[in-house]
Amino acid sequence: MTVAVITEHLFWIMSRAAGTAALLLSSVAVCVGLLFGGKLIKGRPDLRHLHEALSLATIVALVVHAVSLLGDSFLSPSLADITIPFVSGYQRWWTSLGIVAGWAMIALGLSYYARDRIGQQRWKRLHRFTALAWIAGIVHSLGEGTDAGTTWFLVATAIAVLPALALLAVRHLGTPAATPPRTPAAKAPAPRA
Amino acid sequence: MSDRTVTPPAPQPPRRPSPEPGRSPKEFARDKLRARAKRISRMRKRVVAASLAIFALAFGVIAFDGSMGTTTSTQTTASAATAAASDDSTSSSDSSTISSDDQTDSLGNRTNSSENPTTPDDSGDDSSSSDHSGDDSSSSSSSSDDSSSSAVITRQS
Repeated sequence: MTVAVITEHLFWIMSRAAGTAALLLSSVAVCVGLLFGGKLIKGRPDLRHLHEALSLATIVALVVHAVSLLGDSFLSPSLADITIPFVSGYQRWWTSLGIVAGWAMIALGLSYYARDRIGQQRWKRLHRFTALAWIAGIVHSLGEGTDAGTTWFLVATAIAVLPALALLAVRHLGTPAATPPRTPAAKAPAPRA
Repeated sequence: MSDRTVTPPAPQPPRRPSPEPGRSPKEFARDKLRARAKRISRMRKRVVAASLAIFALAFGVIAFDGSMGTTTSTQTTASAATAAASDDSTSSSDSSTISSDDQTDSLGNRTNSSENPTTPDDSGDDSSSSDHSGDDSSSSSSSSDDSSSSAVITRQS
């Protein structure tokens, strides 16, 4: 491929590369989050920081993925096209799914910094929806992504996504022991003095 | 001297390194915090480096191996078949330029399997899609007249 062709499609290639990076980074972030959140790995407090760094990198990649499309001369979308679902007519459903997933990832990811205001327990419940946004992102990439049919993309996605999916399944289906047991005494209100 | 030999060492919690004799616990804790901050900083740098590497790798693979859309020359002849095809294309403005099988054999281009990117639901997208292929589609739309060649680029984002 010549330099001229790359220059011509620069923003489009950039958007696709950033989307791929966002998918892989988010998958690893979900993996790490499930590992330390589900108490599958103990004694590694640094994993939380790794999860945070990966999540921030994912958000940056998502922003690059969307914003670089603004420079694409083929689609030439407006800001509304890439930020508001169902505005763009191009691959409307897949695009809208990606936009919703992207906003959800950004909002749920950044809500970490407002968790004191939200409340720890409420934030933890809220944070579980990140997995849904991540899955929606996968569906978006496989449904609309130009590279979804290529071997390299499928292999890379499988390597990153399948372990995270397995951990997600273990977390939600297989480990009742992971939750702390609740005794009736713990639920009972404390007696007043 | 004898006191030192008799007095047993203070019990330490397991797996905790005892502070060095010359340093106070505060200094020891500060050093531990500093080491932890350094470790976290190093980890963040690695994540940034890995992210950039993934982006660069993906960019390289897409740029040199990925699909940039299809640019093909198609020879169409004025016949009943093309007339029928152009009749079909009246239902969807640009779809006739894409749905023909002879031009969408590019790698990675999945315009046949999914909904047509250049068949928008609203008329506003007609203008957006014709931004790129306006000159091309005009030539392809004129292909129903007589034999002519047209270059059509189709792609998905």
